[in-house]
Amino acid sequence: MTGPVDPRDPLDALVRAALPAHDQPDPQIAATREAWRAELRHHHRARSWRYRLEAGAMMTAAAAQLVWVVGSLFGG
Amino acid sequence: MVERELVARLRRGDAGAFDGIYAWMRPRLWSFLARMTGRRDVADDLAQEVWLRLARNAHKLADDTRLPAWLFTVARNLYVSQWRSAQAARALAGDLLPAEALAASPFEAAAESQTAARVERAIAGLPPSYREIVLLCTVEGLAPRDAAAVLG
Repeated sequence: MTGPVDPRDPLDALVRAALPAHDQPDPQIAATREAWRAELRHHHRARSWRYRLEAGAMMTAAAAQLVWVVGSLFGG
Repeated sequence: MVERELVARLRRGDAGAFDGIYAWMRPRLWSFLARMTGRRDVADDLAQEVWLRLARNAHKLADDTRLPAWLFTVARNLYVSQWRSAQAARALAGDLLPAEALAASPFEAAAESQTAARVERAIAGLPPSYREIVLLCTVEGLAPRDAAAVLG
């Protein structure tokens, strides 16, 4: 798939023809691909019910521990 | 219809759709950012951020999203943020930094002909607000309504 080209404007075509396509080196292309793939995997995982349940359980446990610590400090 | 199907697949998190749009739009986005920023390394960073944002937000795309316009909008916004940060840093540094050099194209030295070098230099010499219009409309061939959407 390529971008739309306006055949009515020859000047646009001349400018585009005069500008060769420059590109990133392959390692950079691959690195960016891996970065967004990792982001996609993380995003899918974060939206899964299992992940949300696990995160909720961890936060509940952390809150309970905090309450216990505070209670120990002030409860004697 | 093809683009609507691609958007639907992106919304579902179809990795193949991401591969397809990455292959289609990556060179165009990177070239745009490189010619706007004048630096390949900055363009690399900004371009990667564009794709990360697509990965994070693809599930929220509207059915009628025009993908090139969406991607160029994100790219342009990232460029503007980066430019403002750079300007602020220069203002804070005051006389500690050398005077800003004339805008240079990252591609001028690699141009295969004098014509290409001249065109690259001419584009690089435009004020950013004109340069982005030339890049979006003339070089990338965005439809006027898409370019208008990108530029806000």
